[in-house]
Amino acid sequence: MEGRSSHRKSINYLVDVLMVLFLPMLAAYSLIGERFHEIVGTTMFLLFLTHLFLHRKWLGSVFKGRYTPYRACLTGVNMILLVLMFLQPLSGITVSKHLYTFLPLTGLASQAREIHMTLAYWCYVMMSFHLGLHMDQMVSIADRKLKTGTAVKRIVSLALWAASAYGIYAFIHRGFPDYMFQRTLFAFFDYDEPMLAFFTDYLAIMILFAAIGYYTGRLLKKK
Amino acid sequence: MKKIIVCVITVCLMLSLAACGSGNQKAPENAGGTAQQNTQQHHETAGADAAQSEKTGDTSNADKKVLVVYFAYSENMGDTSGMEVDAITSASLNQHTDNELGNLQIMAQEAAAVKNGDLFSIQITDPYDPDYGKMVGVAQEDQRNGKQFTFVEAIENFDDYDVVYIGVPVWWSKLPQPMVSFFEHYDFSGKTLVPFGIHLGSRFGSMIGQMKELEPDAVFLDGFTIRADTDNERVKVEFDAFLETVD
Repeated sequence: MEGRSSHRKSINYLVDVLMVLFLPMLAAYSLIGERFHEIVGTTMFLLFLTHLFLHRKWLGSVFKGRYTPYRACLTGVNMILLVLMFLQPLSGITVSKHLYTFLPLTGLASQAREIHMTLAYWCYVMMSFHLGLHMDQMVSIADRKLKTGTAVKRIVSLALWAASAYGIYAFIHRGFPDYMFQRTLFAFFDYDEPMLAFFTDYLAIMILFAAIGYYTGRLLKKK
Repeated sequence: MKKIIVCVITVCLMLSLAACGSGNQKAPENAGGTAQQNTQQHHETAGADAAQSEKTGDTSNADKKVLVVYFAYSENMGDTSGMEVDAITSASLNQHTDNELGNLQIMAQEAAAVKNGDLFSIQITDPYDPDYGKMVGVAQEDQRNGKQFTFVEAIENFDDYDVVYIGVPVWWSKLPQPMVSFFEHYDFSGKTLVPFGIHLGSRFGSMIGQMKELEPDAVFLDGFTIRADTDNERVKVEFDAFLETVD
């Protein structure tokens, strides 16, 4: 029983790590190639379905028990993500240029493209926030492991704070608000910029919203 | 059972909320959609600008022959004389501005005036639908299928030009398909190309790379892009500043 549970946990962990890695890759869209984007996107959806399956108990208990502020927040975020994560593949397949061209979906391509693009940035923010809400366990594990070296701990936390601060700049600089509120309907990709710069910025944005999620979670749990 | 129903209703509600979010956006536009009032007005202004150029004309590179070509959707929607002006502008980005002209035309005229160039508007024999909603899907299909276009007029003495300013709307981060045919039709080897474009967020997207692939033996200078929905006046000011940097 114990063995099975730890086995399940490691699959769980692997799925989550892969999803975190895939998210910035998806955001890079044409920088990494449109066909590759579609492959990664498809894999992401399969990972999401696995994630849902592994947490089916959570889904089943949504209407049970008492709602604390933290649980209400988590459930709200997860429900939004649930919708987004089904809308993304649907809209994506509609505008597909490579993998799903055999499907006769062309009429709504223009609207689907806008939905896909706008929701992509919402997904990015919400998934990072969702990650942050669940960061508690990870932080406490890290806390225990880094017990001995307080200097290491300090450096790590300082680095995360710095990354979050930079994330604010990257969030604005990369045009997230414009994309999220449809002021910009066509994404800009700089093909001359080193890929590393792109991923650094997007990682910082992820850390920023994970941090916001983490502290929101802590705040709600206190009450 | 009750719970399942509640669950379904919740999801439906959220879906409808999401639909609201995307429902109140402005009409789907792409960077090419700067429809204008009519082309007659364009010609009048072009005349005025040409007159102005005699005063301000730049003579520093008089030895180089300059051509300014541009492709504007508004000049490639067939005969719109029978249509209400509003029928054209309703689909236009200009509904959010006080613009009377498309920004591509503004820039093309400006480049021709400042650089003493000849102005050429690229027009296809098989124009796009004046209804922007219909045109969008067709334009995207053209890009996918690599449709071949032919042109109403040929550029006279094309070989004589040294520098070509080339104005295009960026469509889905790429060249409009008619422009691909244009580059296949004309050989720009040895010429200097200065691209300028209008967009709705993508800036040049992957268009410059696409141009370089089509014209590997041309020299490309850094281009200029501006959002399609910028006010005419501001476009003029910023584009003039850009032109000053081009030798």
